[in-house]
Amino acid sequence: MFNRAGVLKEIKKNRWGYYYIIPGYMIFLFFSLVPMISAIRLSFFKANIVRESWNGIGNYVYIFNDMVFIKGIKNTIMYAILIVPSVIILSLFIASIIYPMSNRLQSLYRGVFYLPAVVGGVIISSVWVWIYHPIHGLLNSILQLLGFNPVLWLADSKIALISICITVLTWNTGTSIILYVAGIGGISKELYEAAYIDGSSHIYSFFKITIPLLKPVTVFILTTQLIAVFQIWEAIYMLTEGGPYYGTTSMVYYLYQTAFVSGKYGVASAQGMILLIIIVAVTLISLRVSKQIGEK
Amino acid sequence: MLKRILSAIIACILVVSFFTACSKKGETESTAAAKAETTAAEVTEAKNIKLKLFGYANTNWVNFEGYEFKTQNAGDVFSVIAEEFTKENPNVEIEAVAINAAGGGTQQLDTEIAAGNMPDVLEDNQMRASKYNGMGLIENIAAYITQEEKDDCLPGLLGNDVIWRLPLFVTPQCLVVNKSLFEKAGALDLLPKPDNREWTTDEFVKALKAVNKKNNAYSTMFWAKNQSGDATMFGFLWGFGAKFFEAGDYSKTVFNSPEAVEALNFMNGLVKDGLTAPAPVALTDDDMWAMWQDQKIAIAPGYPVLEKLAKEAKEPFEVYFVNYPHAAGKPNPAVTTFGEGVSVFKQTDKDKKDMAVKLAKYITGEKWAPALVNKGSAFSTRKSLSPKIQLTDEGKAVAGYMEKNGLMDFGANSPKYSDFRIKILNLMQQIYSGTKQPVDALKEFETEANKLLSE
Repeated sequence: MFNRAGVLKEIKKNRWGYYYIIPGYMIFLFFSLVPMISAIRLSFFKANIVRESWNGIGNYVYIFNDMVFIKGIKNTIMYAILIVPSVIILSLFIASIIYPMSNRLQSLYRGVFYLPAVVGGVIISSVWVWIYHPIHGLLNSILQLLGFNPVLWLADSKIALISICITVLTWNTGTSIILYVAGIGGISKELYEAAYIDGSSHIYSFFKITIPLLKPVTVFILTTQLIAVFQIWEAIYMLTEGGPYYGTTSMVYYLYQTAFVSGKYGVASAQGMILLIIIVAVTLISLRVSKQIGEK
Repeated sequence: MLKRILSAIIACILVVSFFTACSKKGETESTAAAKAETTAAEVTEAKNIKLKLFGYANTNWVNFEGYEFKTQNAGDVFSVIAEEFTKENPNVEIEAVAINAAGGGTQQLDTEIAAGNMPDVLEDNQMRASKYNGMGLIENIAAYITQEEKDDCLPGLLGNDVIWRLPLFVTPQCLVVNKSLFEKAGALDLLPKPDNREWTTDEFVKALKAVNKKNNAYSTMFWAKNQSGDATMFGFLWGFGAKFFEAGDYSKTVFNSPEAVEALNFMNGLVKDGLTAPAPVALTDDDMWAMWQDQKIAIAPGYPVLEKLAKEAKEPFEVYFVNYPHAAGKPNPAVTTFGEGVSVFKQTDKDKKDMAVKLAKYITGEKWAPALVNKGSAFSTRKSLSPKIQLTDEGKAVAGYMEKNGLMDFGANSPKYSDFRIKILNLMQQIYSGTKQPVDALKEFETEANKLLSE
């Protein structure tokens, strides 16, 4: 039962802690919470850059009848299916190669793999624009040198979607690699020694000791990656602008187009609310599933 | 106890520093505002009108004669115009803002307006500015325009009872031929003759085949990654008799027609047959600019400014302007032009409105218009300024067939045009990517476009 006096007493007891976090919460209040509440309000209005009028649930009805928005949801799910497992597998694989190395080499590789994350998605994407370019792109030049036909990396919607996933992987894996290296470092060496004494191979130990004990790290990476991928935007903006014919449009990219190209701020806010619900739902499901796997 | 006092001091510092940080700018602004008020009070008579001038950062508008150091970057010219105007009108303060419309859209200005930073005077493309006119944000300045000024403007550009923009220049869209590449391929005789500059689609295809993939160049290129330069493609559609609207009626599109199917099949056929650069959906007009200067395309759907770029290329080459081809039995296509102009946003203060109109007239007047027109290799919209416009021989040839074939009405005056062109982009992407055949894509386009136009 809710004990008001007890809670107040607890707050009073820890009041200095609360005072310290006031600046942080103020920033959150003004730059996150207020805009979020404003977006919820705007999602019920028909709004463009200069006018707004009450529209009830009109914007929500509109977006679910909008085939491009539905396509954006499907594409976003596809991005999540392709990118999130790839990040986990790739970063775990690289981390397990890096970890046994000397400290100096380990630091070097961690830095190298983390660098793209520091550089940022827009810069990395603009480099990939030239790598994928249909006429003077690096990839097609290599293919042609090897005697293969050039590939339309960004002009065929199915290939373009995969091309974007590859681009995103180049800056998304760095953080996960660092987390996995740290996670592997936290596993007791005695467990491996005991396993080797019992005749376990490196691969068997990896699957039976490393992976299960890295579960908290994996759950964290899974959750943060899912949230990040559901907000995928810059690679699409730079590489395909959502095309060909919305073949690579994600929910957030379409939200951007709805707001800043078409000027439909009310509709864009409604799209944002749906995105919020989806992200919360997917995060809760992933946490639940991870918990169940852990219990088993 | 000491620990508690220290903690209290640290907490207070944190809280106060947060609020101080937030209010720092406010204080600075207040101080600045107070200073400005004092200064303003001293010159009450002199500085009382503040205007915001927004202008499209045209990449050709750099290095203006006499202002070379001040116009190094695209968009700088608006600051210079503001400065010069202020010299003549000391009671005005102008804030000049350059708009970057990369990608062809209106994102930057939309965001500025949504944030409450409304322009007073806007210099921009007709296709984009029409959106704000449709929203009721632009003044009708017909009362400010004299009959003499109306007569001085090219027919059909100004309007009569409703004047929402003062035209600055028009740029015709044409096929720009790299004559040097045709000469190297021994195919000069396949180009239209200089006296008419017109050709059929069959003749056009024959010419493309003669130069394609020779001298390390594609015969031509289309692009449909974004809306940039989309108007350069319309000549191909009009050459088959297709059109977007019926005689100025922008309430519904008439594009879904057998003529449009034929035109789109023709364009897509060129892509499929390898007669254009590959993958139009992954290309933009930026690629065209780069490939043109590198002599990687023999015929560019473009603008007269390509002649200037050819002269400035690493290896300069000769150019030749021709009209878009027409299907057998169809008339020569009318010329697509896009124009830029200056609009005045809605004002509540009469003095400010008068001054905004004065600034709009100043930009489109004899001091700046010829310089801006010449820098962009464009055409003047005012008869009285034509003698000051330096048209090349090729430019004069375009003016000749433009007069003969007339100007194309592709709907740029429609307030919905900026959204309508997104539908055109979707249509072209569907066709080039093979997602839909022209017949089906056109049906979908008709439904979507008419829904938009009726909203």
